[in-house]
Amino acid sequence: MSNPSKRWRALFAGSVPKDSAYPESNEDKLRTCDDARLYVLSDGASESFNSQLWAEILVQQASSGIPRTRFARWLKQAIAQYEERSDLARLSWSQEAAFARGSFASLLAVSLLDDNIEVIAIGDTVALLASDDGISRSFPYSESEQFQQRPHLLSTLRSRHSTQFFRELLRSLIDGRGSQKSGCLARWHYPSSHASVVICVTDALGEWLLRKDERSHDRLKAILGVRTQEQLADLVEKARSEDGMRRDDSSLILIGEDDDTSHT
Amino acid sequence: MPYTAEISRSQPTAFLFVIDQSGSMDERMPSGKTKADFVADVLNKTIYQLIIRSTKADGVRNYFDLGVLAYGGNGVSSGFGGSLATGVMHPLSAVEQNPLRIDTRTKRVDDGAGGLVDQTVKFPVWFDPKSSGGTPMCEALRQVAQLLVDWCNSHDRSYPPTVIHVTDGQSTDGDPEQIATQLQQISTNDGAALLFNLHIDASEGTGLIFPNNESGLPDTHSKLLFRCSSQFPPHLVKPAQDKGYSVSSESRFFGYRVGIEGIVDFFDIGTRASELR
Repeated sequence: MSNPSKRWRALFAGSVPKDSAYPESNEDKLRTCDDARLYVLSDGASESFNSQLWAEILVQQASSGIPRTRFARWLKQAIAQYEERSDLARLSWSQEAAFARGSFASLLAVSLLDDNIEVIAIGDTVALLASDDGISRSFPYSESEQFQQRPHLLSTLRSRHSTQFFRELLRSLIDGRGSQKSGCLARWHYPSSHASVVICVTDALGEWLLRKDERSHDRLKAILGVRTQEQLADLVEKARSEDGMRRDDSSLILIGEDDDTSHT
Repeated sequence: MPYTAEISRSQPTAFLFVIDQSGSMDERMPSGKTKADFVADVLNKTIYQLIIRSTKADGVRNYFDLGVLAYGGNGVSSGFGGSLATGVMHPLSAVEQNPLRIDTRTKRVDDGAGGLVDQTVKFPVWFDPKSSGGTPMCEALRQVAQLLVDWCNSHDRSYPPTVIHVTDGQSTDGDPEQIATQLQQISTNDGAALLFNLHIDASEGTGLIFPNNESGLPDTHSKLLFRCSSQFPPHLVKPAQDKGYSVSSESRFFGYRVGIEGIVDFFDIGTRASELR
């Protein structure tokens, strides 16, 4: 059998803002790199000074690869870039105080390696492996209730990187093993089904998709069928108004075999 | 379900602080500050926090309208000074731009290496302490009701306004119960206006905070303020429990003879809105 990763690509990538009146305020950032077989998604936290910029820097840097053994240095470079791009001299008193509170964002990076799919996940942005039959893998969360927790996010504050959580995160990246506690690394075998897809979603979509009730299958089917920005916008609006999905920036990346070739 | 409207720039909510500035507010607390000084300090910090939480790189987002109404020997008037004194309620960005002055303070912060370091921070002041005369509580609540009617009329889809009323004494212009009851019937489509009453005391004790019923309250005045206070909105139950308070949805958002720590918690929990957009 040929290497399946060579046939996989982004089937869709898009985002719907939480407030349609302010689309420029969308704090989710994403990037797909089919050539590098790398897909990155970051969700900037709402109550942050400039999580939009922070998420953008994380995604930009991660799309060149995340060096697992030098992650602390990688993160320092991202913070330095964030500080460089923040014009501190022009801040008002409230912006100065908000800047000091830091910016926070999740980071999800999916790499299609030769032997397996590698997922690095920090925070509550989730990757799932699924087909029409159901969800077979999900990381770092597998239950909708887990989204009630306060997630550990990447911060622009250096002081946040001396915590026990962060030390465990570094260790698990260096070891190359998934850590239950820090929940940052998973590896999945490629599924045998050509119809399988990796779904990357930010928290509101993830919480909605992982709900276990009589509509679970319909939700999955709806997500798997998205191929245009308009379809995603319709799905999100309907889920918000009819199915209790939390109003938040909602982003989706679908990775799988190209629709035209998956059944040949 | 009430109290579930999301708070956004196109759908802001409002906080109105109603502050007793009667003569008895000059009594000193264990810290050496007067009650008026301490309440002014907590109020300024609360406004500061509301602004900081809503400040992004592109400016302050108007998630809230803020108002301060003060009452005492000089009657009832806006508690804001300077250019904000012309009105009671203002959008958050206007409050941010118009403090009376910006003081500097020192606070200890994490140095990132396991230690603490002193850092100078700017501390804006909007509200100065005052204390004189009587306690025209009824007139203050009447003016609050008018402000809420106007606000709710123009924000019918918003999370309803929250009134945080701080007093250390009894009304000197009549019985406030009827007007307080009427005030809690003013509503948006998301629910009735919330009236949180905080009776403060100069002692070090925690007093009685968030009681479930009148039966454990010590006197007629505390029972009156209990009846004048709103029940806990469901989403504030957990933040109160997280701070160690025994609270259920039956509890009233009310504190009696509350000291320093309780005053800070009361403001903190009372201004937790649901998630900001």
